[in-house]
Amino acid sequence: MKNQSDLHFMQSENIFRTLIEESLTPVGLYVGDDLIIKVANKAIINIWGKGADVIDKPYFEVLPELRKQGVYKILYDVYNTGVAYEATEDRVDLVVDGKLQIHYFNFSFKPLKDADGNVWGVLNTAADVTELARIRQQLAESEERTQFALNAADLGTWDFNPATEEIIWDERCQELFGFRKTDTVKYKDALKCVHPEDAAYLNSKVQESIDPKLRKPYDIKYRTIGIENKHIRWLRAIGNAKFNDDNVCTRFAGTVEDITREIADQKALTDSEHLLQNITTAAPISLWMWNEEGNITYTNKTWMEWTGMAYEEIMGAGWLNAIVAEDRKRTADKFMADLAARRPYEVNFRILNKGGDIRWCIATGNPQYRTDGSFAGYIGACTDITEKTLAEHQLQLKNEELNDQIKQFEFVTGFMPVQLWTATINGELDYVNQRTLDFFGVEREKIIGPEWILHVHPDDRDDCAEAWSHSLQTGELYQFEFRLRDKDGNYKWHLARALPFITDGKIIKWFGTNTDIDEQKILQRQKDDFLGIASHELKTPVTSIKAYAQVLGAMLTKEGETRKAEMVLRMDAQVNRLTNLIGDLLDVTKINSGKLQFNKTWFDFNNAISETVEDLQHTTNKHKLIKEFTKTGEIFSDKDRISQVITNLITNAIKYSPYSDQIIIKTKMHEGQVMVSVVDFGIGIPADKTELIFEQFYRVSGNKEQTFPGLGLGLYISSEIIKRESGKIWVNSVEGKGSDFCFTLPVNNQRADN
Amino acid sequence: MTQSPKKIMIADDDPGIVDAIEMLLEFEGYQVTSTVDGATVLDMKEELPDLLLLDIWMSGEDGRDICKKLKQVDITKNIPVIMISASRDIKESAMAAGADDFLAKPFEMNELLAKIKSLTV
Repeated sequence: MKNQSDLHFMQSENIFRTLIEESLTPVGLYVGDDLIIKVANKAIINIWGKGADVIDKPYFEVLPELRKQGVYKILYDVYNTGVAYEATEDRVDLVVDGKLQIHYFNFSFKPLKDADGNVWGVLNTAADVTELARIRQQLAESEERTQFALNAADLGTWDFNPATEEIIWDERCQELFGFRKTDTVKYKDALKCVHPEDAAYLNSKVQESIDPKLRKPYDIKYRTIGIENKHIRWLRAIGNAKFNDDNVCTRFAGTVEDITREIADQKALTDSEHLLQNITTAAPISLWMWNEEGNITYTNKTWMEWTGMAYEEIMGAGWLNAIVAEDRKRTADKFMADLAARRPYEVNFRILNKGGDIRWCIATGNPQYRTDGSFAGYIGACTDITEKTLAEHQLQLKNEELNDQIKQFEFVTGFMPVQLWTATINGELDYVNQRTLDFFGVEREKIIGPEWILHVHPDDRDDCAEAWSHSLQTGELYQFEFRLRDKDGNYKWHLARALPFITDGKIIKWFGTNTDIDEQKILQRQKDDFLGIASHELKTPVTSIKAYAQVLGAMLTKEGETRKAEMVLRMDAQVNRLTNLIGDLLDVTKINSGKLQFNKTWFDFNNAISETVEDLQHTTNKHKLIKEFTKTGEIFSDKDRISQVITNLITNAIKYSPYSDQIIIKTKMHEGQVMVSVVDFGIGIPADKTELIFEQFYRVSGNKEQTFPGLGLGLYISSEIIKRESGKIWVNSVEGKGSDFCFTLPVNNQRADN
Repeated sequence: MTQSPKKIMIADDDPGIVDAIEMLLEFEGYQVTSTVDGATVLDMKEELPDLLLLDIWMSGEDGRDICKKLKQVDITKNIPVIMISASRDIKESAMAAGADDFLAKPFEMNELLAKIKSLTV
């Protein structure tokens, strides 16, 4: 067998030896069970790092380090099984220069068989690809690093081949598009993952970039929707197209980045900016930012809306153009001066709005500094203060007007014989005119406040204070007569009157006057004195007349001259009327001078009324006086005065009901008081006169056919009597139907009058 | 009528009153003396009246003062006094001065006669 092998070899040897020996491809031939190295050219020996002496030595003796490596089994497998083996870039560690070194080889073990198919040797060819493998490894490492970096940056890479319309992309990229990792993707499929609103846009951009004529840079944002999870992402894709010499795009590759969050953040930012803008626009305040030079770099919409200026027109110093010419320079100077001093500014100016109207504005701002402390400019605001300014202006005008009016007013009141004053709602004086000061002869400070009451006569003080506080509480007209002490210590009668000044239903102030009525008072007193004396003097002759008449009447009766006696009796009745008139006049003088006296006793009320009614029944034949009494009991009062009131009411009732013949007199107890009512069916009283009839000297003015005698004092005296007795008197009346005069009296009015 | 007529004295400064009342009282059967000067009333020593009608407002004299003095003197203090005034408001002060009764002018003659009668019984 060996000989045969040698023979075959020998035959070929001569031909191939040199060929193999010189070949750059390492070649080795190992024969027999021991794999004796029969051929090893220079190239393979170089790889092994051995010498030519390896020939005829067993393979694993020469390369003992291989016994423990995979190649040992591979080689024997080939020899034993006859199946060839080829390796690509297999690692084989060889001891070179005494050191085990890593090598990579492309090698083959090819079995050599005899005619019977028995393997007699193994042909080994090898190529040292260690360098290639290392480069490849380095490349792989570098790619790995790139990928790592891309992963770290969340960047995906893609590579589009326009010819095949196929996209090669990395996992990340697939993930971003929502494909499963294993899918290979066609461009048109990838487009399906793009948001419908963005797909056409994306496609047009891709086409523009790969169009050899346009070659536009590719940097776009678009949304994708995940195939399975329907997840929407915002992506930013950047890419570059490569063109060959024929101007055909061969490759279009780039990166893609998930910017969903940035978009969301940006949207949030935009939203909040929008919101801010809305707020600042809605606010009637113009907001500014100025840079270090004092040029406007930002403003909200308000100034534009005011002035109609465009945003660009406002920038820099353009805003000044909206300011009216007279204010412009001042405003600019003030602003620049504050800017130079880096101090907060405040300046007022007027602008012309887009409607051509002048608006008043106030602008304020504060210097701003960056974090490093350097000056950054100003942030400021400008407010429309037109309404306020106009209001203030008007207020000022009003005040001036008011002051003018007050001056005029004081001028007028200064020479008017009236003390003019105003008082607070607490009743303290807060203003008096010069006339007042002149009268009292004091400084203004001495009369302002609550001190004024000290100038009132001590006897009048309490009633005055009562009347004044009543008015203060009720807001009713204040009217009071009192004596005021002048600068010489003399008391002068004054009439004080005051009315509340009401604004919006609230009393703000009291305006009052004190009118000197001293002379009137003197005249009135003289009148009253005169009336008093006159009526007193009248009484004396009346008394005489009555005496004469009575004597005359008695004489005539005695002489049987009954007709003449009757005439004297009538004369006496007329004298009684005269007496009553005199009595009324006297009573009025007493009322006016406060000297109406009451002689009070306890008496049976109904009895007293009844007596009066019966006396009066004698004076009339026509009218029937009907008594409708209910129990009243005794009261404490002046019987004569009460009788006087009843008399007045009944005589009036008779007088003013000429066409009826009934008068009804009622008494009853009403809410703890006695009440009398005298009802007639006469001419009645117009509704607007029912208050007046209780006034002094008021007389019912009938038409020509109906004139009624009398001084017009009866009801006045009656009402004064009732009032003085703390009662009330009033009338219910229907014109043409009759009247119902009523009064009430407390049963026991202990008020000390006299 | 065996009784002698009652003597009434009238003191009033108004002659009209004095004349009228004198005439009235005489007609009624009284014996009347009169004076228009209040001071003379106090000079009465003899011929004392059974009743005095005394006006309060007399020129120069206040009837109440006269009344008080009369009531302090033994011989006159028992003479009933009716004071007369135009003002009924001074009735109280008249009574306080010692008057036995009071009449306000103008008065009904019957009233006067009734008061005189009751005081001279």
